[in-house]
Formats: sequence, C-alpha cells, structure tokens
Amino acid sequence: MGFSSHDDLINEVTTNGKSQYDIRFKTISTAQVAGFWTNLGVFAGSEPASTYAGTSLTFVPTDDTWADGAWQHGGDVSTDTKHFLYAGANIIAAAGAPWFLLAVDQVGYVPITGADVTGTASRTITMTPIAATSAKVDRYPNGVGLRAFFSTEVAPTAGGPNLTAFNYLDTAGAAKSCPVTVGFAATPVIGAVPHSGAAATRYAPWIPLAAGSTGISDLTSFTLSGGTAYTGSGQLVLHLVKPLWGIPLLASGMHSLADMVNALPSMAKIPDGACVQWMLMNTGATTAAAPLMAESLHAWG
Amino acid sequence: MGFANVAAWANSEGAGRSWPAFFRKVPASTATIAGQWFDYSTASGVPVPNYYAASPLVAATLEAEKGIYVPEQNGTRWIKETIVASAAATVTGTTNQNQPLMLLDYLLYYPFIDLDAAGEEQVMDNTVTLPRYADGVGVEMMMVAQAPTVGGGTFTVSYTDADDVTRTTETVFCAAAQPSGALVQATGAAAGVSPFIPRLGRGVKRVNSATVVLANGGLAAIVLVKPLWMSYAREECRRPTSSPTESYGDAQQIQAVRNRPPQEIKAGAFLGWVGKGVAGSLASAPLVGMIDTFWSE
Repeated sequence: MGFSSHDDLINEVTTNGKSQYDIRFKTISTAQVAGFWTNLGVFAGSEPASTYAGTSLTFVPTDDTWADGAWQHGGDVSTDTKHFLYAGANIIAAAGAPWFLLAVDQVGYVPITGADVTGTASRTITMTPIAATSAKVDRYPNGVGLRAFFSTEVAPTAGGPNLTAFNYLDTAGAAKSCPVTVGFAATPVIGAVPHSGAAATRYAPWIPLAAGSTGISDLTSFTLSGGTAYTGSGQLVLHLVKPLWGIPLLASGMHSLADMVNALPSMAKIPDGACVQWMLMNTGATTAAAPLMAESLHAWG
Repeated sequence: MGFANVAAWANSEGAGRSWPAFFRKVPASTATIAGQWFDYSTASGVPVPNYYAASPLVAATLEAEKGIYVPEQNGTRWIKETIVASAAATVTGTTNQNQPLMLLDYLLYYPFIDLDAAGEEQVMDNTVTLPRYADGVGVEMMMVAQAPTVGGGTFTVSYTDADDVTRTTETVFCAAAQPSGALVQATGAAAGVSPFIPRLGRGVKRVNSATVVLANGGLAAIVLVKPLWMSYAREECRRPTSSPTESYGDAQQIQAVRNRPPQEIKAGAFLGWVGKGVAGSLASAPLVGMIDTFWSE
C-alpha cells in the first residue's frame, strides 16, 4: 500500500485521520568529541537511556515494544503502510555545530562486554538470520537495506584496536566481509561510534560492506586486532539498523525542517514494529547537557 | 547500466542500493586569500589529509578509500544528493560564507614542481596514465600549493589534449602568497584567481612539462581532475556568545533528478571538494556534509 496520489494522501490525512505528529527529546549528557558520530540511545529523553542488556555476542532483536523504550508511532497499520511526511529538529549547545541528525530503525543489537571488547581473537555472534516472514524482526526482508555500526555503552580505559575482520551474510545468505580495515578510537566517550572521528581508516557511520551487498541478514563474526587492544571494562554495542532520513542542524537553537513529500525518493517508510533511534554527527565538540528536539509528521494509507 | 526511469531511481533506496558518505574537513589556521580557491582534500579531518606525496614530477594516483569514501559496487555509482554546510572558524567569523564548492574526481597528480626554478622546463614522467576518463575529455588541470608560496610568479604548462594535440598554455599568473592547499593559479592577471589552469581543446590527457617563467616560490602539484558537481555554502554556521546572540547558518541540499541530472562516480574515484573563499579566508572553518549515493543493479 502507500499513497497512489497527492489526492489520496490528502484524503487519508484529512478525511480518514491517518496521521500522527510527534515530538521526541534526548539530552546529550556527556560531552562529545569533534568529528565523531554519537548513538543517542545511551542518553535519557522521551525514551529512557538504553542499557543494551543481553548476553555478550548474542543478537537482541528490537521493535516498538523494546523494554529499553521505543517511540510509539501509532502501532501496526498493515495492510496500510506508514510514511514520514516531514521532520524537523534542533539542538541547543554552546559548541558542536553544525550537526547532522540521522533517524534509523534499529532492528536489533549485539552487546559486547568483557573479554569480547579487550580480546584480539575472532568473536562469533549468535544470531538467527533475518528472513522474509511476517515476524517484526524480519521487517526488512532478508535484511535488505540494513547497515551496521558499533557504539560505546561504557568507555574502554585505553587502546585503539583495528576491526580487521567484520563478517556477515548478505541478503542472499552469502558470506561477505567488510572490504577494508577499520580503525577504532582509543578512548571513545559514551555514545561515540568508535570507528568515527578524524583519523586514518575511520569509516562512519556504517561499517563498509562488500561490493554489491544491499544489506545484512546475519551478523556472523568480527575481530578487533592490531593497533592497541582495548583495556578496562568497556562495553560496546553492535547495532543493526535501517537508515530512514537525515537532516542537518546548523547552529545552536536553529530549527531545521525537511520536506519528505517532495523529495526523491519521497516519504521514508516506517514499517510496523519500527524501533526508531537517533544518531548525531558532531562537527565540533558538542557540550554536555545539550538538549535535542525532533518533530515529525507521518501518515498511513 | 544506469536507471530506466524515475521509479527505478527512487526504488534504489528500498532495495538497499544506497550509501551515504560523510565528510568533515578543517583547513589549517594559516589564512587563505579572499577569492582564493582551496583544495579541501589537503585539509585535516574526515577523510584524512592528502599531501600529494610521491616522487617529484612522476605521475601518480590517489587511493579511493583515502578520499570521501563511497564503497565500490558491482553496478554503477551515482550521486543521489549532496548536503553541505560550513562552520565558522570563530563565533564571529563570516569569511567562509558565500562559498562556491566543486566536487572533483582526482585522477592524476604530478607533485613537487619547483616554483623557484625560473626558466627550467620540468619534464613529467607519464608512466602512469589517467585511470578514469582516459580520453581526457572534460579533464582539467589545477595547481595546488604543497608548501607556502611567495606568490606573484608566472608559468606555462605543456600538455596533451583529448585529441592528442600537444599544446602549451598561455602564461599563467600565480596569485599572491598562499598556504599549502591553496590553488596557485590565476588567469591573465594575478588577481583573477581561477580553479583551473586555462587550456584549449576538449580536455587534458597528460601533462608533459611545466616551466616557471617568473619565480613564485614554494612547491606545487599539478592535479588532473574531473569536475562532478557544484554546491554552495551560503551562510556560515555559528552562534555569537555576545550580542547579538542569534544563530546563523545554512546548508545546501541538492538532489539528483529533481535539481540536476544524476552524476556518475566512476570505479576507483577519489572524491574531494575545492572551495572559493569569496568573503575571505577559509582558515579553520570546517566544511561538513554528505554525499549520498545510489548504485544501479
């Protein structure tokens, strides 16, 4: 389903009432580092700060019923489909501008703790491959469009290893690997994507995929070796997400809007069960206690 | 292959054939000259700086993954949209506003041309040839300072054009003293800064030699590039800490198909921006943004 025309969209919104307006908040409580990406899921706001509970190296699927808290965007609407019509956002911070805010649908995550952070041997992930069923975890059939990134839940004491192997199954179930070595930062702060920032071999926000890969159906293994192994009791999270939309935030307090009806491609889809989360690129060092506000209107039909 | 129609283009997103490439480049604190073009590939940030480090006068290529990184694909890669913004160097800085920007595919470079060697023809080694746009059509030359220059010099370049005709440029003026990363050349007069060295013909296949006529000081690379896309950083992003405490800023979003035709990114392309400091120096002013891409089936 979807909208067959502008007339159909207007009818669904104004006659049938199939739309919802939302405002979401996050407060970036820890100062971020210039040039880094941040997973805002670790910060409190309209959804609580996520703890990314689970067993290390075991995939945890997430949807709009996630215990850590997920944006309630109106429940299931199948056989209709939900789509963003516009979005806006602003952030208030003494430093860090301009920013780039990304909305993603987090299909699941892999907690990484203890020796799985500090170790240098290959780590095998336990995960049931994403299939093409009606289950919420399969909302992107066979993982089409899904991307992966790491984030920091608890900062390691020191280090700076390289991601020398990142293995996955593509949408056809074929074994694939990241084609480049990816460097991790020495002491990424809470929320930081450790493979971002201004240094060689940092690729962000997504871990690069092999040529031709259109998505990830299964996270199979990774290796953090070379460079300097992490020390301490850091905790990382490996996220599996579908990018939805992005918007630049230009200066403190300046609200940016993005029209998604007249864009091409238009009206990003919100699948039933979507677990919408936020990522932020910091041009400068975003100051602590910076509030982010994001608004959006979506409709279904 | 490309895209049969608008639907095929738009469906790339849902089919997972999309990749966003982000960049954040911060020029050094040494001032650039008003009106001067600057090569952001040489600036620090994301991706890491490019120093044009190779054997003097020997043609060399740059590695794609060290430019703005778009993973290689089985199909052809195309620019879906670009978003650019420029952060002010200080809360009161405005010299990076109204900045024209040009996205380039960096094809081949000839490093360490001695801009003091007046009267000496510096002959290039062309063992390595154009890796993309091999016929040279649409390929331009730009001279990038690899060390601070004194300025005020002149030079000529002998090159082979896209029709295999050997040509020599007019006498090209160098702009005033400039830092590493600045584009050296002017056209006709020292004040008329141009991003590219003036040429005849349909493009440049290779550089044969460079001759400094009037010493300019410093070292430079001649870089062969293919312009891909234009953008514009209009108002710098900043918020003063004293009156008026108003926020300023702008980002320019340009979408392929809606705003201009899609532009292909060839396999192996090294992507980077050059920008013109119309309102003044670009020093310490970060250029940030995204090149979002699609690829075909």
